[in-house]
Order: sequence, then structure tokens, then C-alpha cells
Amino acid sequence: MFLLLFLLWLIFNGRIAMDVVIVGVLLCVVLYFFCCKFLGFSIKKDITIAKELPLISIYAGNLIWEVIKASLATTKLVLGSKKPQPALIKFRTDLKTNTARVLLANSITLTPGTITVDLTDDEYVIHCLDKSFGEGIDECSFVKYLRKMEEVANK
Amino acid sequence: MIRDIIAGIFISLGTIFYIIGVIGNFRFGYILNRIHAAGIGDSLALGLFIIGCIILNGFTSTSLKLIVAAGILYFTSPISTHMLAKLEAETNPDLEKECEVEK
Repeated sequence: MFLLLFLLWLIFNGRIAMDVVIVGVLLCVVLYFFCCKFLGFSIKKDITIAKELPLISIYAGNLIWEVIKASLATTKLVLGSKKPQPALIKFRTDLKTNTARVLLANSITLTPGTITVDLTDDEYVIHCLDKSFGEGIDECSFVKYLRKMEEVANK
Repeated sequence: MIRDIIAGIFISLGTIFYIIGVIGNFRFGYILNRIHAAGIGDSLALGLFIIGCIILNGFTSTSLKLIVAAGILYFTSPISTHMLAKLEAETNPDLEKECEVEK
């Protein structure tokens, strides 16, 4: 988290000089202390996230691949003469942490063709442009990676 | 020269996907279907544009800023989409006419 803040500071500044670095470090220390105190961050959580980093990068790559696939499928529906059959489907997930659930909802909405309409506790309501997009959505590749991430976090 | 051509390919691909999204917006009649068409522009076309701009720019701090912008958009655009979809699904009394609803 501290490193992330510092990196953001350097990116926004656009140059690496002594004065920029010193002001940045001071600001980041203050901000990091504020985050720990009031927003629920802690050094322990940061270490867990650092352990998950390889999994997170695999997840991001997988997400991009799924977005490309789903976009091409939606493009086919847009340009084709076949009329799509939209459907609202519901499914339950076995993910336990709120972070994983929100990440799954976000990923589902980001891929074109499926939108998360509602998320209460462990039940998702998904709107699909075509019925075929919704088949097997409760066991899609996102869920597998998120489960692995939860295992790493719980160790 | 080669860099310009590659960046051009990426940006034109992004434009094509945006145009497809606009066409979808006009072809589908119902709001929930239209959101899907707009989603193509939101995710894939945006990514292609950003990649094209980064290649055009080379490795400078502007490119890093572009990556940050893409990351923020990838986190926030699903939220606005979700809010629109939720509002429509909860307030429309004739939802069954437009799509199958699983009980």
C-alpha cells in the first residue's frame, strides 16, 4: 500500500528528483498512517496481498482474455441477423470473503454480454444478452482463481 | 515509422469496436440489451485505445499515467453499468415481457 501510494506520486510527478522523493515519502507516511487508523488497512493485510500478487496478475491476464472472447461473441450478436434471447439468471456462490464476491461481480459486469444486476449475501442476479452466455457462469474461470486466492489469504 | 503503424492498427481496431457498440445501441430496442452493446466500447475498445496511445508515446511518464487511467476506468465503469441495470430491473413492472426471469 505504501509502495503503491509512492508509485502513484512518482507517476503523477513525472520526474525523479531529490525534492520530489523527500516530499513524497513524507506524504505517503502520513497517508499510510491515516489509512491504517481510519480505513482498516494494516501491514498484515498488505503482506497477504503481496503473497497473492502472482495470482492477481494471472487473474488480470485471464480477465483480459475473457473480455476479448466475450466482446467478439457480443459483436457477432450485434451484427448478426439472429435475435438475442435475453435472460435474468440467478446463482449462488461458495466464495466467503466480501472482497472476492465484489471482485467476481465486477469481473462479470466488465465482460460484455453479462451484467450483475444484484448481489445480496451469496446470491447473484445476472442479466445475459443471450441465454448461452449464462450457461456455467457459476463455475467460470474467475471463480477458480478467486478460490485459490482465498486459500492463500487464509493460510 | 513501424511504431506509428502498429499504434494506428490498435487505435483503428478500437474505433471499429466503438462503432459496433453504437450500431448495437441502435439495433437493440430495450435498455438492458443496449447496455451490453455499450459495454463493448467500455471494456475492449478502451483497452485497445490505451494500448495504441502507449505505443505511440513510448515509455514515458505519460504512458504510466495512461495505464493508471485505464486501471481506474476498469474499476469504475462496471459500477455505473450495475447501477443502471439494477434501477431498470427493480422499477420495471413488465420485466418478463423483455427477458426470461428465473425464479
